[in-house]
Amino acid sequence: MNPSERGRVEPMDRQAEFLTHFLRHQDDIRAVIGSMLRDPAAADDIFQDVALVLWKKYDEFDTTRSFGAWARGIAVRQVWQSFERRRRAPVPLAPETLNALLRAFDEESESPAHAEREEALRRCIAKLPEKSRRLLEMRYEAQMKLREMAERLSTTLDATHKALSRLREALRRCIEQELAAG
Amino acid sequence: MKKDNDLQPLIEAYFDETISEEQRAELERALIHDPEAARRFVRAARLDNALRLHFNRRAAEAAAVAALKRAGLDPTPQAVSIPRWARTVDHLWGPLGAVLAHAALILLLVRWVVLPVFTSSPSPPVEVEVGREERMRLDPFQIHDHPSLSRGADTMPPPLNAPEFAVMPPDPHALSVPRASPPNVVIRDGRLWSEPIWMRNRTESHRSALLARYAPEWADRTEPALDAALEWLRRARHAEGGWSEDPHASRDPALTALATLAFLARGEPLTSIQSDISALVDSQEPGGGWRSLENGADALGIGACALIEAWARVPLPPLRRAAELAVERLIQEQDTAGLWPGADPWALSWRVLALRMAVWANLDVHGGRAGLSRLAGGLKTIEDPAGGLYEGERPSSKAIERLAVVALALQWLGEERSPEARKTLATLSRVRMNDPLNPFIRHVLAQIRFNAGGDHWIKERGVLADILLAGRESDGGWRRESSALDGRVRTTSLAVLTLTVCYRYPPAAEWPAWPVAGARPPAFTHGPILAALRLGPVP
Repeated sequence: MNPSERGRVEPMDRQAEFLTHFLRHQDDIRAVIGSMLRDPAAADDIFQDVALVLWKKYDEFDTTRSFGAWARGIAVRQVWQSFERRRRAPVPLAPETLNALLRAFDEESESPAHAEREEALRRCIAKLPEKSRRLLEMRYEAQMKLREMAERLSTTLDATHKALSRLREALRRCIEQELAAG
Repeated sequence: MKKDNDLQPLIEAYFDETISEEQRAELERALIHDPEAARRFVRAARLDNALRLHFNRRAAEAAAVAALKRAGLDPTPQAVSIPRWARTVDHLWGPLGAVLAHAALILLLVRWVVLPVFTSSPSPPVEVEVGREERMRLDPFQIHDHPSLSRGADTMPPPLNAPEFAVMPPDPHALSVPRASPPNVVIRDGRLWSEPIWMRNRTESHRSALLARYAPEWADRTEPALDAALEWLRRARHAEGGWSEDPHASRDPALTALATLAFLARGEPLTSIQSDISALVDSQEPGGGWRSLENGADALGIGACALIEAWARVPLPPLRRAAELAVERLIQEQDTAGLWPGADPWALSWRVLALRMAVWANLDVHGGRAGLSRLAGGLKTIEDPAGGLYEGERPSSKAIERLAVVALALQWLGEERSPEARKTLATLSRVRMNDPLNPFIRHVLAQIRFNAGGDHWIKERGVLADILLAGRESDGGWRRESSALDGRVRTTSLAVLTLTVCYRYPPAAEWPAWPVAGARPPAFTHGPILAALRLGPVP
């Protein structure tokens, strides 16, 4: 590329501003998508689409509004559109439900910072016994379905589900305690 | 309205995909009509997402470690080579050391294991089992609710010492290679990326690990000095960003780039040097270079380096374009041998590094790889390193400077085993860190020693730290050197770059090979860019 054709650089404030917003809210955007799409690969694809749409539409973003709310709304629309494009089964949650969830996301602001939560989660997982960690690995790392996990563990589907539920509840409590302890 | 105890199982079943149609309808009714139910669902969605990201990243790291091992590289911290005299002392000390070590171990056991058993009640056993008749105890979490465990330093959970790459033993039946989905990403050219690994090494936790690996005696001495040095540089900065040795003079692009690199070397967030980078970008000429100040150092190479590093930290399109402009200018100015006519050692050093990093970071510049190839050949012809100049007892200061820059450049280009580099490095081995050297030569030599590793580095790293720390003033900056060129901003910035040598870049031998056509940029990994940026709350 000829440098003279490239022209001078544009002000970076706008991009930096977008990046700041995006990095801060990306986890919630993922969470919204993940709550609608349980297939992690499809959710990743949609997340990338959403990131691009947000970047392209950022000039239209009203800075007096919440970036998180705006981004999550776009994420929900992207999931809907992906379902329509691919003619898949209907989205698992009705539009009224999604609206209620978006409101809850707006109200339930996440604090403290993402990094602290991530660190708290890491500490809590490290405290788990090996068997519990293996259970989480099967579900979240190997992305196994519960039925598959139950077969591998020679147990019932219900037992596996209850074990995972209790693990998550324990993690939730542990994270809160870790964060409260500072 | 549904009770909490009835609602949570529905939410859990939803996320585990075991929910029935009736339960789903029930859940949706609750979510629509009960805001608390929706908030519970949101919390569950966030935890579900956090767990996926956590395990995804851990598996990605494990896969990266496995790939490195397959490639014959050991990614775990390795002990540096121990000199023969140290081994001999160690051998002689062996029996006495064993007795002392056992005594210390017994004392530790008594203090931390035996005494606590008799002075406190035992903790409930930690066990989670999943069986046919599902049973589970979650004591590690429930014990925090015990009234005797009031919050405080004494009752905090034990510190976690798990190494970064500690993973469960792999089970080929249970685990699979995860899909690549970086947990923290940025957008570049319509694609999502995360920060390069050499930037990640500069975050606080990685700095500690790398110092422990390469210069364990440095951390307590040099890191506080570096904090003070950056603070001094902040005070010496122009109000509108950028630096000059004379606060009343206009900003010096080369000096601004040098000080900016010092901040980046320490892993400082880009937001803290945004005005300096803006100053650098604003003063860039349309041709990609910077106007040289009278008696000033060449700014093209170091300016390009600063822009590339800034862009690698936060890949904003304007930074990329500015970096590409500078690198294209570098390539245009190369002669047929790949060198830059008239370039002094300072200019040569930064220009080589800029070109090397541009290819490493996969900047979109035409002729980058070809330029590097020419450069590798051209460097070997400088002053004929195999000839007489370097055969003397000890080269002159000017020869050392030129020689050191050529040797370092050859290391960067993966040519450290070439006959020219070997000869040059052998000659430089006669130069000592406590010889009278200017800050720039010492900075170059420190990188050479670090890249080469082994005895030279081990023997000289202590001397290097002593000499550099002796140059500090009480205000945190470094004092001016005798040379007119070496003002305090320059000496302080060079000291920071020298004392961050253990983590600023990996040893040159670990840099990815550059001539491979069509190779994907290997430098990008799943790094915590948010942590690196240390972004404050959005207003």
